[in-house]
Amino acid sequence: MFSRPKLQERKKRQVNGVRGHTKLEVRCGKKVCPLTYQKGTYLGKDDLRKPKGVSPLPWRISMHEYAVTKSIIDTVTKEAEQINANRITVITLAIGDLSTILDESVQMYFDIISEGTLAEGAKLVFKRIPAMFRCRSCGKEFPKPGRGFDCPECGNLGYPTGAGKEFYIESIEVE
Amino acid sequence: MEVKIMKNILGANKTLAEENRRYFKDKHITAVNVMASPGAGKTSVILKLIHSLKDEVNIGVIEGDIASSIDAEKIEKLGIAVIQVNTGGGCHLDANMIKASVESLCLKSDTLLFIENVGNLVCPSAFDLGEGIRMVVASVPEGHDKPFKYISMFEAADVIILNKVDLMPYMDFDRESFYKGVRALNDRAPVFEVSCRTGQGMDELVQWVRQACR
Repeated sequence: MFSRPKLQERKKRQVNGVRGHTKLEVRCGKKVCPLTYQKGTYLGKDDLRKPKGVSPLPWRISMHEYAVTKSIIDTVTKEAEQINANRITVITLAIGDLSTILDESVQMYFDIISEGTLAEGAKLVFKRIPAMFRCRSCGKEFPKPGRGFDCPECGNLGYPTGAGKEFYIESIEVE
Repeated sequence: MEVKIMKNILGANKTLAEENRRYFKDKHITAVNVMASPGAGKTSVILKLIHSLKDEVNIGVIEGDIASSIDAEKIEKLGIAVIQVNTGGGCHLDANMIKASVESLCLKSDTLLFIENVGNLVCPSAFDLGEGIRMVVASVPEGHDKPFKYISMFEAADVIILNKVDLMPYMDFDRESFYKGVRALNDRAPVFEVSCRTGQGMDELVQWVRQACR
């Protein structure tokens, strides 16, 4: 039978020089295992304090758009570095209507997190892609109606075609 | 100068999720990502399944919650390996949290691992954890319109549970409309009507999970 792992020790130090990584150890029976965790991830109710060396952002809050925006900035800055760009001026995102993302929220996080990176000051362009359905009877493609999934032509049931789930960085413009 | 990128925004999560998936496969761990709105009965379903299956298979649980260890304590009482992940306001679990939790749970091979996601029908659907089974729990008091509102959640489900069916006589739950919505999005996931309170329908669900572990 297992015993519940207990947070054994809290070592406030940076791992591999990566900001926001904290090294912990947990005890599981007699075995002590290392536990590496990142910003926004912590384990145990006694571990709610902000570790040293992480950014002043609300680090515990890994709200959806925060995580997403962080990922966008990491990707585009890496791309820009590879081609020795000085700065990124435009970032174009393709976001389907089924992808559970709010543009305004991404923009808000972007303004904060992009500070000091190659992406600082870049314009975010949100290309919205509507959710499409296809009728199971007549095959007609139609944008998701406000209510239900019924085909506007024949009234039969539609299914999602996949359009509307897009969630990628299309392009960047750099100087 | 314009540079084409065409990269998935959640690519980093996806990569970690695939690592988890490989780990689970190598160790014969059946990972079940349990998703639902708050109060639909995620913990109750997990507890019922633990009761029925704990003598047959090793079980581990990762409890995701915004705060508190209420659910983890319920599971710990049954002598099951459990780890609490508090997201501290975060609306979903991600693959990195699962990776860290799995390492610290010291799971044996041939384990049934329940991952209870944060109560939310939106965000968890976007973050792959590397799970083998996506279990969505709906409940009668929430209403029959949930599949029409939370498309991605029901579309990606491998199994759907309709909980609290004992309340059906007291609610205006339109079963036909619920199934119409579910089947429009997903014609492969079995739907189990259960009541965790009375035990109704649980045998069929237990049987399905037992099969899925093999």
